[in-house]
Amino acid sequence: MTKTLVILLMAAFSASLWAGGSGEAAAAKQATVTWWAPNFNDPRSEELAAKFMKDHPRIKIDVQKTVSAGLQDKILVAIQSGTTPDIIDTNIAWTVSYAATGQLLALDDYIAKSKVIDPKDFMPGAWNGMLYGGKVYGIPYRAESHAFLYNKNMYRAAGLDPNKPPKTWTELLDNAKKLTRATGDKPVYGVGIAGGGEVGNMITILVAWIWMNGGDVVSSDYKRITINEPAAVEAVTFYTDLLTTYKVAPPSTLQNDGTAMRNLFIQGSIAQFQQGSYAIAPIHKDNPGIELGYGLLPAPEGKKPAAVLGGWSYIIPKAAPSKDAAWSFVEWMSQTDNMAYYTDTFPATGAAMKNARFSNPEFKAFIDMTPYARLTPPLKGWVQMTSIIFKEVQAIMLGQKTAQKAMDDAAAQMTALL
Amino acid sequence: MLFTLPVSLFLLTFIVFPLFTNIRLSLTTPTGALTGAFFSAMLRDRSVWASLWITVIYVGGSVILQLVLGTSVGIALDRPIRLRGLVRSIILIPWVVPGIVAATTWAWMYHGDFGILSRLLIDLGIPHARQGLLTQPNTVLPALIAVNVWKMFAFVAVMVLAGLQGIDTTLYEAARVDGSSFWHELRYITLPGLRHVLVSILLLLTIWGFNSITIIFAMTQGGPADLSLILPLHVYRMGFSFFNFNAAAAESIFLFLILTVLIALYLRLFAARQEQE
Repeated sequence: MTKTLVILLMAAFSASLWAGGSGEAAAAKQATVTWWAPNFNDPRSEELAAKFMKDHPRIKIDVQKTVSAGLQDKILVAIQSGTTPDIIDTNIAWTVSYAATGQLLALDDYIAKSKVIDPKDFMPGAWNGMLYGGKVYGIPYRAESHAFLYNKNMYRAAGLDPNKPPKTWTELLDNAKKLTRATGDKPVYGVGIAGGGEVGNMITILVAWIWMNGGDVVSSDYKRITINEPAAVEAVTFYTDLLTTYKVAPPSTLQNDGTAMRNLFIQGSIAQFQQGSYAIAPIHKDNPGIELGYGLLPAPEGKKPAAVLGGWSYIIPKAAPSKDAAWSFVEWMSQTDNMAYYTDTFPATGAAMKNARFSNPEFKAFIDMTPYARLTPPLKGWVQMTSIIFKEVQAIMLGQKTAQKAMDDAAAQMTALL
Repeated sequence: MLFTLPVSLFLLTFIVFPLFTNIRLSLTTPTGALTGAFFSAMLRDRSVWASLWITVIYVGGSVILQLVLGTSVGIALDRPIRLRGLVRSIILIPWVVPGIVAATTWAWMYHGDFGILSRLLIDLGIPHARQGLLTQPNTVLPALIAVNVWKMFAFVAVMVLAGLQGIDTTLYEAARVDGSSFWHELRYITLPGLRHVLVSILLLLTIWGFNSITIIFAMTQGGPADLSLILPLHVYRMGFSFFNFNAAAAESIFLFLILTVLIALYLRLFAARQEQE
């Protein structure tokens, strides 16, 4: 008896939910824009959405927070399923692969009419990452790259000029040798490189070094793996030699990722390393005694620095229910002040970069590096490829393989993924 | 029949359904066509075999040491020593500490630059430790096995302690009247009396060992250069890092079959021994 009652109640309850849901949708005249925003932009996403809704009473922004784990795949599933949000915040490195599915809205017509979006004011690396088949599929709002960080106190102690960070690989190595004191109770090493932990941390440094040396991971038509060609192998050799031949990187390198390197820097065990601007705050907080120096990333003699471009952009799926309303919000978010407020690191336009928020002199090197930054290749198997490179570089560091042999092996495995 | 319905539904939803979905995933292409390609690719993949070998060393080494250490501690704690209750509780701590906490703590202790263990080894005159035990090909597996043994031996000790309570004390008295030594008692009374318990523990430790990724995931993620990449971690990476769900499903079925064969062997061995008695 009671069982029947429970079932009836449940049925009635779900029926009312059903009726309530559809009734509400039919009654609503305003457009609802569902926006997937990453949780690290919270609460700025909520604040900006509220501000927008105040000025645009006919549009309701429904902020749904996403988490980093598995996000790349989750977005892919969403845009392919046809049931999509209206706006998605995506890592700029993913945009092209989404555009390739044919499920993204090309934004060229909107951009042509827009008074806010000026393609020429965007960082070229970021803007180019939005192009697929000659059309624009996203609007970048955040762009960042690594810069070079060093400990000025340790420079002075080693007899180096604390205002002259290394500009070339030779200078980097020379300084590193002078800074290294491998003996004694508290050994000090000249430079930190990523050799373990998070795969992405090593890749972000190493791929940039390959680019600086004129090499690449994959050919420009994405048809051929080039990581075992001389320019790339030379860069990999220099990277691993810092540990194996010159011994100016700490012996714990194979266990160190970005966070571990920063901790070593904070406790004075390494004198130089490269990282994003997010490194500044924890270094000051945990060791206020360190006088931080900044510079562009050192490049091989006569060559230009390079860095991996990180950043975020908005995309609008083809299946989005309220495209026009979605675009008005994207356009509003791209206004200089809003973009400058929303980004976690730096904005993607020159105008927004002039905001007072970025005038801190400690940011200068990071801002100066962004023109040299570009995106990693938009390949479907890229994540798996990075894990292959990571493993083979570790094999070099362990002395199991030469750089050439390791990169040949990596190329063979990566070719299978193209 | 009606009373078993909830349990049956539960089993169907959470055990049978995922198992069959997994089998289907391993045998079909994304468009739904039947294929053996994922299995043949897996069998040709050298990294799978390397992982299997690493798993065998890791699980084999862990289980043997866990059994030896756990049984010794169990037998020792059965003797009337002072503060026995306190010692018994303290011994349980590693087992009670959450795996991820223990593993992360150990990883820091092993770290070449700020690890207390490395510091200790360097002070003892082993400068080799400066590179960190988790980043050298020869030491990474022993270091991980040590953590796994430390984590689980208490479980063995507790089970052995429980098993010892079931052995008839008159057997020991009779043996002592005959003038037997401790080692004789151990060989002819204690260990035979513990056989059922030990076989159950062996079975559990093997299954847990084959399925455990917590310790290695938190400490090395399979590194350096995949030298501690056990098969379950290989499956995890294939599925959740590379989003290659079909290949991951094929590998997990492979792992499942290996475990099934192992368990069948154990049970057979155990059952055969029982008939002899």
